[in-house]
Amino acid sequence: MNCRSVQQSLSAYIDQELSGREMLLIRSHVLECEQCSAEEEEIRRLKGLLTNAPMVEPPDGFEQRLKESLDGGRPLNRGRSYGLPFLGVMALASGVLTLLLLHAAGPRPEPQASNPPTPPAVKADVNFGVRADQASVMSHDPLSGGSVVFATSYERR
Amino acid sequence: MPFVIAKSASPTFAPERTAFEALVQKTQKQAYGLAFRLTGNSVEAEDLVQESFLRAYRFFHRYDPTLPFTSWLYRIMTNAHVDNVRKRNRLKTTSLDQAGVDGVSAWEVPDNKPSPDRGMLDNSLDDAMQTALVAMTPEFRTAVILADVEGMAYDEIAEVMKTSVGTVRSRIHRGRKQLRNHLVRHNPAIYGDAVK
Repeated sequence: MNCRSVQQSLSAYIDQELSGREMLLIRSHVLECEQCSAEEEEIRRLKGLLTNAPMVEPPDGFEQRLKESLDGGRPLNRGRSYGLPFLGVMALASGVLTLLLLHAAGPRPEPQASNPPTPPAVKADVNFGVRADQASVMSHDPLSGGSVVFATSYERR
Repeated sequence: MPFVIAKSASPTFAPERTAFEALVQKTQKQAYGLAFRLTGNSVEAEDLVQESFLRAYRFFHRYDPTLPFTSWLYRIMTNAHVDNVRKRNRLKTTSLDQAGVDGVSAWEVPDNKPSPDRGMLDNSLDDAMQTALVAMTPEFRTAVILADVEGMAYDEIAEVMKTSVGTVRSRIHRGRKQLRNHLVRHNPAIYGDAVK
């Protein structure tokens, strides 16, 4: 084996992802070639830096924020601006959501003469007749206080 | 803290929800660790984790429980990450092409320069490594992280990335070269000391 083909296989050799025969051929070459031996050593150490890198701990409040996002209490993508294309998509989504909310609200009640009842708090349920696996709870609707459910077809990109 | 997701109206969905909540509880920290290594900062890492779990929740009926949940979740996460990076790069390209009437770009361009969180990374070597990771081609970065940080075998990585073992091998080889070149160019002293 020449140095070029050995060096192209060194990562896989170090990861023990080659066939037995290839492993033996590379081992034999590396034992005799100073340049390839140095290259092998450096890749091993680079791999070691990653393998031994400290575990990254989530920040404070991460679990709570994750729970809230899965409950639909907070939208994704904090602090980002997407510009006009995203606004266009959001305008369309708002239209779909408005239709869903109006459908769920039903016909307006007749006005009453005295003390109309306070509407009950809307629970954060995934509803509106949309199957749970076709819905995504995106946020809270500021008008009803309920979950904003975005129903669409999820074609895999 | 027990993990509870908003109730569904359908009673048949309850067992799935409970199972999903348990999986989230078990894997959320590990998922965050991968997301942080992929994105390089805690804000994007949290967004990626949330997006991935939401997608996993949406398609939970497709999950095969005989396989490790993390493998399935990691596939969702790595796909989402690569898609997000591509979208961001497209947006940046579009902003350069379509300036507004005043000559200023029409869109606000997200800053895709990594900013390692000083609180997250305790030493300059890890800072340098993380900066170098984020500078890599996303597919190469994903393959190298799955191999060296998550300890996955090439066939596992191929399964997660939905590609061949040969492609994984190439991505890891080229990825480690990119990583090393970046460290040598930008942090020669730190990298030199680390590999002595």
